[in-house]
This record gives sequence, C-alpha cells and structure tokens, in this order.
Amino acid sequence: MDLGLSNKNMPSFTQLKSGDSCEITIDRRIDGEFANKLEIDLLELGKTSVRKITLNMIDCSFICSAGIRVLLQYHRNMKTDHRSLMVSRASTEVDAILEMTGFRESFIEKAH
Amino acid sequence: MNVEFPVTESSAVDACRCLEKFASSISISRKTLFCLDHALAEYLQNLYDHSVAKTSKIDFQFSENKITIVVRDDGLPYNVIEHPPVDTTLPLLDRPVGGLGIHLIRQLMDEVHYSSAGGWNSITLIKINSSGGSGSSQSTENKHSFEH
Repeated sequence: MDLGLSNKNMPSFTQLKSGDSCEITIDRRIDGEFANKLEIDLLELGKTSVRKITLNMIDCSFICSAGIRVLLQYHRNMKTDHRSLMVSRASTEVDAILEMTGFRESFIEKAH
Repeated sequence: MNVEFPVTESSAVDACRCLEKFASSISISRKTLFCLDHALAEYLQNLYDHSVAKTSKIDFQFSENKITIVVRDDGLPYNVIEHPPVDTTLPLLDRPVGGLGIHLIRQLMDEVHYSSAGGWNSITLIKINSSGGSGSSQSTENKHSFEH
C-alpha cells in the first residue's frame, strides 16, 4: 500500500482566488515539511485583502499534529481579524484526524 | 524487519517509508496502516523536535494479526504515557497547541508502552489489524470508512 509519502520537489499548493476568497488545494500529505509550507502560504495570504480562505483537502490522506497546529493558529488569527479559514472538503482520513483532535466541528465548513 | 537511521528532519518520512515496505510484505487493512502511519510519524517527529536523539532503531513485527513497532532512541528520556491528556472539549481559543502528537499516538494505537534503560528509550506501539471491522474502542477508526 502506498502512503503517498512527500517528495521535497513537489510544487507549491494550488491557489484559486476569486474576489476576496481563496481556495487552497491540499493534494498531498501534510507532514512536518508541508505544514511549514502551508504556514508560509497562509502567512502570505494573511497580508493580502483575502477575507476567506478555504482548504480543499479531499485528496489529502495525512495531516500531522504540526499541520493541525497551523490550521488552529491561522483559524484563530483570521477569526480575530473578522476573516475566516475553513476546510471546505476533507478526505476520510483528514476528517478522522480532525474528529480525534476535537477540531472537526470548528474547522470543517458546513454545507449550505 | 529492523532498521536503523540517524535522527534528522526526515526521520518521520524515513520511518514511514520503512513501514510502507513492511506493510507491503504482510496483509493488513488500509485503516490499520493509516493508524500506524500517523502514530509512527508523530513519534519520530517528536524525537527530532524534542529528544536530541542521534540514532533511532525500529523493529517491525507482525504476529497473530497484531502489528508491533518498537522504536529505540538514544535521546532524552521522556515517557509519553505520562504526558497529560489533551482536553479536546475546550473552546477553540482556550485550546493549547502542544501535546496533539502524543494525543494522536494514544488514540490511534491499541497499546503504547515505554521503558528506558542503559541510555536508550524504547516505545512499543501495538495495533491489532482490524480488517474485520473490530478494533480499539478508543480509536475513531470504527466510526469512519476508509474505503474509497
């Protein structure tokens, strides 16, 4: 079974901006290294006029505690600034980890 | 299967690559592999971040439908079992950012044991292969389908 282990040469996360919203597609494992890369992306987006960031994690099969810490930190920062950071789509694996850590209800965007 | 490598920033990925190879030689379910993958990666990342260990030795065993992973390291002694539990019910603003990795290891494994002797720490991660749908009542894997 393939765990989809990270490769340092993988390209940056894809960002799709529309108005004051931005969707980031997370299509790989969020291990320590890619948690750092995600943090850099969120930090840069935080400096822009983007008000709403959504993370599409449907093709992400792994998120480590460092990745969850990044989500928690930037979710809090954005909320304090009356902006939002939410997970729009979660894979079964990400959903399980968020539930296990008690963040599922807070981070996953509810369907309208 | 036994492996040994220096503790570096890539240790978690290196260990999971070994797990991937080990898993390909036995018959375990996708959800069991998911639990082992996360727990092993979290432990090796903790070693790199906090233990100042230089070397880790990992032993993978599969017997009687149970996977046992023993990780030994020469870092600072730290008993993960004694780490205070994380309160996952606290409001988001009150949630501490630390301790999530150890919390996940405990949640994902059926048993976790720790010992320290002769300058080496040893943690044993045990997971029952739950391909038949049975598994730890502590694990959320029973609540989720890993079939895609």
